Amino acid sequence: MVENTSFNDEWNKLQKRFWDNVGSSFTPSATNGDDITPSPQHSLFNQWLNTVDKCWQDHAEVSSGDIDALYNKVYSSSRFFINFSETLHKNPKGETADILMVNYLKEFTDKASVSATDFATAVDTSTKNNIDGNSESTLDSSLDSSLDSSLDGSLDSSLVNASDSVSEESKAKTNQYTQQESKQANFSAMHQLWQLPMANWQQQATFFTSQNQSLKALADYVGDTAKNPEFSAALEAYLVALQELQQLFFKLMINVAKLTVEALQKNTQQALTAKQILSLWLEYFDTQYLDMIATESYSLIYAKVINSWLLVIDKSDKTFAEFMQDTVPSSPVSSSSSANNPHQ
Amino acid sequence: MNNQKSFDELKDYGEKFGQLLQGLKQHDGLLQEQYSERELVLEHDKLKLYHYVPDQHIQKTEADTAQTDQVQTPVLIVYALVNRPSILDLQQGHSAIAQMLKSGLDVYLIDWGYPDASDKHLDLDYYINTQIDACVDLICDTTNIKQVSLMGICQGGVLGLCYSSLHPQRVKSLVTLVTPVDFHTEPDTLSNLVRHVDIDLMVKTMGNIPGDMLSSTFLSLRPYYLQLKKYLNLVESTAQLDEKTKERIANFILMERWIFDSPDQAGEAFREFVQGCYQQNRLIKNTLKVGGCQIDLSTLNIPVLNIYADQDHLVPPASSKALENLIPANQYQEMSVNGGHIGIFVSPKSVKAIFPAIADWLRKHS
Repeated sequence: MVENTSFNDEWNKLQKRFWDNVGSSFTPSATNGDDITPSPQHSLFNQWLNTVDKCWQDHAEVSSGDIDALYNKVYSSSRFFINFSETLHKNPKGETADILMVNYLKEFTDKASVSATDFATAVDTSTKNNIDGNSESTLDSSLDSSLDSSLDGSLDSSLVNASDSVSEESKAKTNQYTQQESKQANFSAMHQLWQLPMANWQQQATFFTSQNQSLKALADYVGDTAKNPEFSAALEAYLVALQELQQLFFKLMINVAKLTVEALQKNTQQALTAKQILSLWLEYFDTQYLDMIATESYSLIYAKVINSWLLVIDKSDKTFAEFMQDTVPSSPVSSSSSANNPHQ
Repeated sequence: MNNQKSFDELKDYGEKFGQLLQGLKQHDGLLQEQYSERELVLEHDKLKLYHYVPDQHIQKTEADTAQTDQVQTPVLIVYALVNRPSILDLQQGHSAIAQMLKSGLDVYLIDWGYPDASDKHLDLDYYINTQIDACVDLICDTTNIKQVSLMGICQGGVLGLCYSSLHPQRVKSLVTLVTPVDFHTEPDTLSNLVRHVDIDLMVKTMGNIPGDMLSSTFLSLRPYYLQLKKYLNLVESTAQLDEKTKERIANFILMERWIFDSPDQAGEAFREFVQGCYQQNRLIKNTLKVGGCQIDLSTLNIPVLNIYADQDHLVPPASSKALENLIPANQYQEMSVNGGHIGIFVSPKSVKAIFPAIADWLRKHS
């Protein structure tokens, strides 16, 4: 069931972002703070917001689990579109949508190396903080802000951290951690290592969200089982495998961005709507993704992730059901279909 | 982009979104899933065997009437262990079962149920040689015949091939729909994903394989369409809330419910199927073993109609068509259908193309 409170909170945040971002662009600046005349665009936008706001209110009356589940999916997908449209509305120069997208994607690809450096610096800072026992790591703060900013669009430049050097840096740190005497610090540091790329990945692809949540909860779980060396080794293998998988996805995202830039640069008519541009980008993603998962190298890395994840569970002192319940409280697996099935 | 155009686009989207929500509100989650009247004729552990009652009230066209002499041999539908057979009778006006009845078939359907922890040791031998066999026995005893026709769907087609190979005297003819036979064709992304996964460790760790995990895997094969675009399309298609739109929303809800209604898989059967078929490709090599007995399809001397979907992303056409080279040529026929793996069972156009053709073929081979 959808929690109406959190749902409304989310909607309020969305509204605020709309006004913060769009209001300043489209509302005429006032000479007197109390005397602002809305532009025609402002009125239209207000009308649109009222329409959607009414939908939200109506939703509060919907109580069926089926409908709620579907609503959540539709809402998530719609938010993706709305975020993208919102990005277009930030455009104060009135650029065409395709030109805007070109600039956007160029920024996405150009900043990859910078982000990799940022990432390495963040990891280094985090490591020191963790070893010093400082729980308020810089990385956590940057993570939070990164997650917040991700809501602003699907291609926030802060998301880009695809670089082989990231993984090498991370692996080096991982190896370094295993030599620490304190297992607790070891796990804590490893937690920090994978959390950043995983959080970024969450911003890029919604279908990986549940896995990411699982990992965050897993980190808490790890703290209780630090005395189990086999478990420790399995977890380390799992995290390394995850990083390999992430590299593939980061490369994929950059390829998709480049392809989209090329296609948009050829669009001399400049007549694409926000939906068409979004579709273009996503279709490139789908095509590239399907090509990627059909390769032998992907099959091997995917299996490495799954197998090492299974080994983590196998080496823990919990059953699979207990493990899932402990690490993923809202996991569909923990409330498996057979247990909850209404047809039984 | 022109600001006015951009706002208009957003406004239009918001209005459609509102219409959709109104449409959703009108369904209380209790939508009917099963339209055709049926009788429970056998319960065997968690399996239920249903017999569909011919609907005397179905309005038949002249073409229907000309072709709908009752097919003499009853047909037993063997659905996959993954997902639910309810897809065959999910939507009024789109029901494959209703079309089968209309086409003159005497239809029996296996519902495998939902395996629980006590079922983790169930293997393919149990499903094929005990459960399917029990259903065939009952149908033969009830109708005083010696053989039935089998209709295997997806993984159920593999089960049907195995049963027919092991019990040829009990099967008059076999129809396979979207059935994988060669598990190593290109492109086969599902096969590629599981090729190197340690299934022994998976079964050891999990016992039964969670249905939700399988469901997520299937969705990951087309992430853009299945997890984003179809929901955006739903909003886009809701310009006004007329009766047609309401029906479309209802059907969408039913399909969503079906997609995420994935039974857990009995661990041992899952191990045998994935290792034997997806990883080692033993079915096409005639080296798959069920209950210690080899499945040699070259000895399958019964009429087989093999139907595949030309846009199937789960079972590529090449995977299904491989059956042609395994069984005697004079026993094999195939049919290509325009559509995807699931779509052909719910698209009115596909349903009307497939099941009368099957009935016609079975009539000739009854």
